[in-house]
Amino acid sequence: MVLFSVLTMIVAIALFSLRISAINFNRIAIIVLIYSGFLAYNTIYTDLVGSGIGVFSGLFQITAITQSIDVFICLIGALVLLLGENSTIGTGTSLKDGVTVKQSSMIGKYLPVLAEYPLIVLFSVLGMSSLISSSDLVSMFLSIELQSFAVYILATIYRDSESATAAGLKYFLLGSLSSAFILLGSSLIYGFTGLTSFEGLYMLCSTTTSNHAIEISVLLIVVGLLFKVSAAPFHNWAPDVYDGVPTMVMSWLVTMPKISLLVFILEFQGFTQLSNWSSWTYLLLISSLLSLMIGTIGGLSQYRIKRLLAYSTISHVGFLLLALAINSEESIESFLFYLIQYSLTNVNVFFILIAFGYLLHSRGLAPYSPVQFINQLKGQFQMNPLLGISLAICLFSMAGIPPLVGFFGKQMVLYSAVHNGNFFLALVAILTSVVSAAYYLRVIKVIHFDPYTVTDTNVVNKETVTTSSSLVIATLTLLLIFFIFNPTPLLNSAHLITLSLFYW
Amino acid sequence: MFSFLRRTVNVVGESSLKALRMDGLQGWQKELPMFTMNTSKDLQQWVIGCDKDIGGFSEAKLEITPEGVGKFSGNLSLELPANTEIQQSGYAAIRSKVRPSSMFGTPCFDTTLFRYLALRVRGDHRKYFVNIQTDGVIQTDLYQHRLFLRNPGEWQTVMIPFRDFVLTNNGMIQEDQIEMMRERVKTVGISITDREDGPFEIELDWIKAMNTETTEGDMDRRPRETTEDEVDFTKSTH
Repeated sequence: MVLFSVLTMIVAIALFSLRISAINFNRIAIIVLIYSGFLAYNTIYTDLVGSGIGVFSGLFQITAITQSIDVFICLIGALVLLLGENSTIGTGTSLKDGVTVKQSSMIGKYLPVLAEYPLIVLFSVLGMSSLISSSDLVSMFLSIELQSFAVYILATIYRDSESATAAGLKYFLLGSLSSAFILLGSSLIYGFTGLTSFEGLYMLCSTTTSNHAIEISVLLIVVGLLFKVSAAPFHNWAPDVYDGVPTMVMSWLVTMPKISLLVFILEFQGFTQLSNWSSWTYLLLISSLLSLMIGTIGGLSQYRIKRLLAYSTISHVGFLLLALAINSEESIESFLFYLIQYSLTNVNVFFILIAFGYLLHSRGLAPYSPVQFINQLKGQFQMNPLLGISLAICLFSMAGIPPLVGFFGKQMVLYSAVHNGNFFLALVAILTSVVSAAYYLRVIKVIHFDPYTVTDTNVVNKETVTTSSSLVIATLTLLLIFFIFNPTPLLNSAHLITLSLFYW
Repeated sequence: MFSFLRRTVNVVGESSLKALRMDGLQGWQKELPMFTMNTSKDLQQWVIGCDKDIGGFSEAKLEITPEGVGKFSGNLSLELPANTEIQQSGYAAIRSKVRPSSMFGTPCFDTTLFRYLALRVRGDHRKYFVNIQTDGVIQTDLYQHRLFLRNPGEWQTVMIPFRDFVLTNNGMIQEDQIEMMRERVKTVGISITDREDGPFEIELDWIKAMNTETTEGDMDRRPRETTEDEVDFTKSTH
């Protein structure tokens, strides 16, 4: 479905982009993604799919986890594309230097969505769904490249400032480097074993007790994958890149590739673990420890909100890698749960940031990333209390404060870590959560408690946020709050997916 | 090799200190000192060039005066060099050196939170330019702005907003003016290319990135002197 829509949209944009405005392409892409998610949901037949079906002669596999995560990717993709619906439909007029200015003259300020943006997003989604269902080294590499190329183009598509171009170029170069690592690792695996299919690798690894060749090649592939997920010690590109690209693109870069790559690491780990001891555990544990520490300490000195979110992403990736490293049934369940709730929370934060950006009518703001500094959000609680409260709830959830859903994610990960005996890492995880709460709380303090000042470049704005944005923000925030009253859908889905991984 | 590692360790140490001090909470800063020209050690941070490199006849030198300020002076000559391909001549410039890099890249100045580039200069009637080079993608991109001197012959502090710098490349103003990457300001320099024969002299004391009381980077702020029972412009919602 996604492929078909990609082809259609290429033709449509080329031929019709004068008649159809770009925002409609965005909406078409959203509908396509929702429909693809629905189609993927239709094929989750746990009984028929069983332990998995190989398609295209073993290049791809269809299992319960691939279909479920496919649904999730399509839905989150549709949600992130909704960020493009960003023309505020303020019904009032604004006061500017004592002269009432009608709404239409403000429209030029809002960035037009490029028609190619949803097309590239669809390419990326295509790559992501192929990646999680890939069952062969070749298809893995192809899917990674498809997903990554689309995302490189996204990062460099808005070239209005030097930092944007530098960030896009840096992302492209480092992403290509990591793809090269993955390619080297896979070619080494093929060279040493003569196998490219994961099933063959699984048969080989489960009957071998130690095989340095496979371990070295797997190390290279893991390094490449960790690069792309921005885990420490390969995280250096993430704050610079996320800071430079526009906020809309950043929301895509932060949430989507991580979902597909982490789920792929989960599957790949299952296929290449040696029978008695595997270096996977140590690799992921070291990376998790470093990510947790660097994510927290790095975020403390930031005054730019997008870099702060980048460092917070790194620390959350640390949690996810910890859950992956343990590789027991309860830890994988906690991994899936954490991934889902963290992606939703992250998307919510970006919606709120962009909404704040459109409510701040100051001169000299970059049009594509209006909110760059934490201090720009000073006192916004007084202007729009609900947005301030929603951001506070999201940040509390990310810090892991009960009764919000983020707490339960962290609790499950830590419970499985302690259950498995990783006491030191569990301790580090808790301590870093507390420290990272410091920088979340700073943002909340600036919004709620710093005095709101109207200087001569601020206008008293009576704008309201678009209906679609406010609907999404409200829904996601309520999901965060009310999870505790009805946790069963999310918890049960994560549990069932994990069971299908472990017991078939 | 070892100085590279030493610089890397220094960068790690400095950024950890910054993180532990939670520098993001610092709030408004008035100025960021970038360069001073008071001792001969400061002089080594700067390079000087003039059209002698292409065979021209100008002269330029950079020295520290007995008063302890830097002086960039010389004689611009518009005579064309022997090379017949060159159609214009007569330029001189000083620029700060690119500092040695560590594993984390070249050390640059983060001037995002400052609105103005301030220079304390005493110049003459000639027309000077201020040039900023950033650590961006294209290394020959230079952001330039005229150094307007209101009182030639007297000391003055010139404040130029970072927003007003114009992107040029190899002397040509670029059509797509993109925003400067203010968080990676690599070098600052002064140049003179005003197509006039004759001597020039400009003295330079310091270069800083500055804010005024009402600015914080590109944002505005109310000065802290106002008391708490000042009128607050918010609605009466609390």
